[in-house]
Amino acid sequence: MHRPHAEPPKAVPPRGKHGCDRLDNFEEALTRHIPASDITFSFQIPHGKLEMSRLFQFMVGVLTLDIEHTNEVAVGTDPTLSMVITMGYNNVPDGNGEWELLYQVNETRKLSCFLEGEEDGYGEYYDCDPLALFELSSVHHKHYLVNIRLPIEDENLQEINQDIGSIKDLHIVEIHQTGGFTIIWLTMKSVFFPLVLGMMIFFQRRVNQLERAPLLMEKTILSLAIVMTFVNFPLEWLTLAFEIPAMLLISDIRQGACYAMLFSFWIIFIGEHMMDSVRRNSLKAYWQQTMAIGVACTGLLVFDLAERGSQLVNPFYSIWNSQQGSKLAMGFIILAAVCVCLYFCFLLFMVLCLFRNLRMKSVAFNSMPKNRKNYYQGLLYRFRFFMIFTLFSAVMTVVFFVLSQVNEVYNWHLDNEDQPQLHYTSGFFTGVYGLWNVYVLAVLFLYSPSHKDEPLLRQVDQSDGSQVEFEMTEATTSRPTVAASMAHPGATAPEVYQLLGKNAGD
Amino acid sequence: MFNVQSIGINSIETTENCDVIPGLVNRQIAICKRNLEVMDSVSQGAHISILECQKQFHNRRWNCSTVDPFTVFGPVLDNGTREAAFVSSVTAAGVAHAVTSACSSGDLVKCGCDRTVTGTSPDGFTWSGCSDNVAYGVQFSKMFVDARETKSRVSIERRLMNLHNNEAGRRAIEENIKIECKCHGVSGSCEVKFCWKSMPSFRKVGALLKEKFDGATEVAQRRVSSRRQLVPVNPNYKPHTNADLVYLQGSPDFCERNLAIGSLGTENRTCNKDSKAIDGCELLCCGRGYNTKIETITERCSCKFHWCCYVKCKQCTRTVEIHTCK
Repeated sequence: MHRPHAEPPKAVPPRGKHGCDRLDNFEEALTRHIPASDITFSFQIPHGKLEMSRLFQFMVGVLTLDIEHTNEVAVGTDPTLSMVITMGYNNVPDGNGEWELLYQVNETRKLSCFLEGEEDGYGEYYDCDPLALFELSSVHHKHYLVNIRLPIEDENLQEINQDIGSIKDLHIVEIHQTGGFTIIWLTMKSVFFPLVLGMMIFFQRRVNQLERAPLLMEKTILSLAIVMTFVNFPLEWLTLAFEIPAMLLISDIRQGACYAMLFSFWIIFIGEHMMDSVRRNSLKAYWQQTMAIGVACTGLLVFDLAERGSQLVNPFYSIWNSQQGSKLAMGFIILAAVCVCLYFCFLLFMVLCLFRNLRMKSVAFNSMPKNRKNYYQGLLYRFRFFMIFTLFSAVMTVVFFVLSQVNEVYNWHLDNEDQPQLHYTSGFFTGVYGLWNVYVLAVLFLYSPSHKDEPLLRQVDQSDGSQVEFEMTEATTSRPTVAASMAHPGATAPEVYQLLGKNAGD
Repeated sequence: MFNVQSIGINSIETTENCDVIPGLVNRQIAICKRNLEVMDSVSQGAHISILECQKQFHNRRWNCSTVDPFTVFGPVLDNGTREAAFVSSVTAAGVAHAVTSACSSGDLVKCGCDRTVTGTSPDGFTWSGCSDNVAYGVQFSKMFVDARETKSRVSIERRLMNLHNNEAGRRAIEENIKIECKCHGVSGSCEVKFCWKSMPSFRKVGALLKEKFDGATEVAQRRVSSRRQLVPVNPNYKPHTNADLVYLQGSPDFCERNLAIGSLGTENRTCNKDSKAIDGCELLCCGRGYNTKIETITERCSCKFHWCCYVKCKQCTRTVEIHTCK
């Protein structure tokens, strides 16, 4: 609680040489006849001698309020907090210097406060939901300063801030990514980037060596690798030298592209292994699924561009703060959720079809010559391995996600020493990230077309290097009752051949 | 327990101030001189704990009245009663609370993100997070408030009792730390959830300690495997935990005025005629009966708070019956 010496727009630090004249409580303001428009809540981020680091990547501010309930004064029914906010920065050690103005905005927030327990009149504090205050996409400076004033009249001389009850104090909780995590994260990116890039080049060369045109499956895998490389590219290193306010937007887009690609990949992967008589090998065959993904992603992209885009100009802005905005945002998110649900229905349906087909087709192997049987069973084995790996990765992701949501809160109460749960959440993130990178590497490796198996139907070489997993460890695990009509090798060969996704060359 | 406001010092700025604060023992004076920047918060903590005590006990026979600036509550604390137990715990909690608040608003240079009292390092901030640094507040309270319990001043059992209750007061804060969270992620999803710890309001701490006061355990000092310990007098009772209050002897009834035991009596106290509880006239007046006066009072009503910072009210006049103990 402070009163500035100078007129507003200027940002005033809470203490120090240029600091404000300090008020210890509001009774003092009353006795000194200081009007509300002259009272500034001043926050310096971080405190005292500490400094922000560029490694922090982003900075989120949350406002919490101490509002007292008394017999005489209560919070109104639909309270709105109107603030005049100034944000400044400087890079002088200890923050004892002139502050440069960064932003100056007027913002309103709806308060949501309630009383815990019975109202016994005096001195209770309301339990108010924390308010999202700002979201900065780059932490380029060493010290930041936030000044908040709560005026009683707006430009049109309308009364504002009349329903907010008896405010005792404001607090800002500042959240950033810790330096250590950024380093680990960037190191991981820098390691995976060349790995996936290298593997991608290897894959592309293998595809180019083929005599035929690349198949849809191969194109998809290549796009997946390109998107993963795009995600892996350690662009964040640049933030250590330059101010890039669009970084959060870029990383959201990168992440969104990654989800979209992974979802498309699964659909096409399953579809191309379907082993029914439909010939796909073209994106058109998957229009329903890709459209669902497309609509979901576009919805989220529009929302994200609106939210993060406006934050480039005004970091205090959020779609959720206005009523129409939050309805619109909710609309986009519901649309996206519906599309994702539709997608998963399609996916589930296709997986069920696939397993039914697989079970029927495996019968056919028994009547094949040994070489060919081994070859196809190898393909099946690779496919099964891959399905299990996919499922494992997906399950791990969901489990980690749920754990990081639930466990965090759960464990906080018990910690006395350090904050271990914070570390495991970071662990989950790096773990999931590493897992999906390994996944993409595995796809590239296992599905890169072999230049050796051109004459595959004449002779299948057991020692084929790139397909080690052909060894018949699992033999024939499923041995369903033989359906006579399926046992004709000539009829099944081209279909089973689809396992490879190579029906073009047949 | 000390009361800085009573000696007319608003702020403890020099080491000389430490010498004149009433009620400090030598060790506390030394701590005061070493930690000048924290001392304002300490005195703030002592102040809020007195207010909180009075708020929690305003309708009981012993209503936490302060008697003189030097000993603050007077001789009522000389014996190891429940009241003494409450005062110890609420003071220790008040100091921890006020120091933590000051730390969170950046008023204390010494207190950073590190979880020790011994200084701060900027590295701690870069590589890990900070929440309300309750650990620092609690540590400081432990150092400063517990320094009173020297061997020479009080008996060993009383020392054990005070130390236990101080700890219980600090536990009331530590065990009621609130977790608040904010989501962050692609398109506002809860992909990452940031959580931080925030201290409970001191009102809540006071209410909790009042509950502990009502359920306090009577204990006696025993030697358990060569260590002196406080054990419940009644072996059938559940043993107390670190967060419970303990006392050594029963309290007087506080009915009659007896300054030697710190009882102000309940004569002329206002009571509630319709209540059957302790604030009711029957119990509060210890069966002596009560006087009833009819008064016309003017009070504030239909108030509206104007930011900042005054309350504008209408004046309402009504006639009320006031009951006071004989």
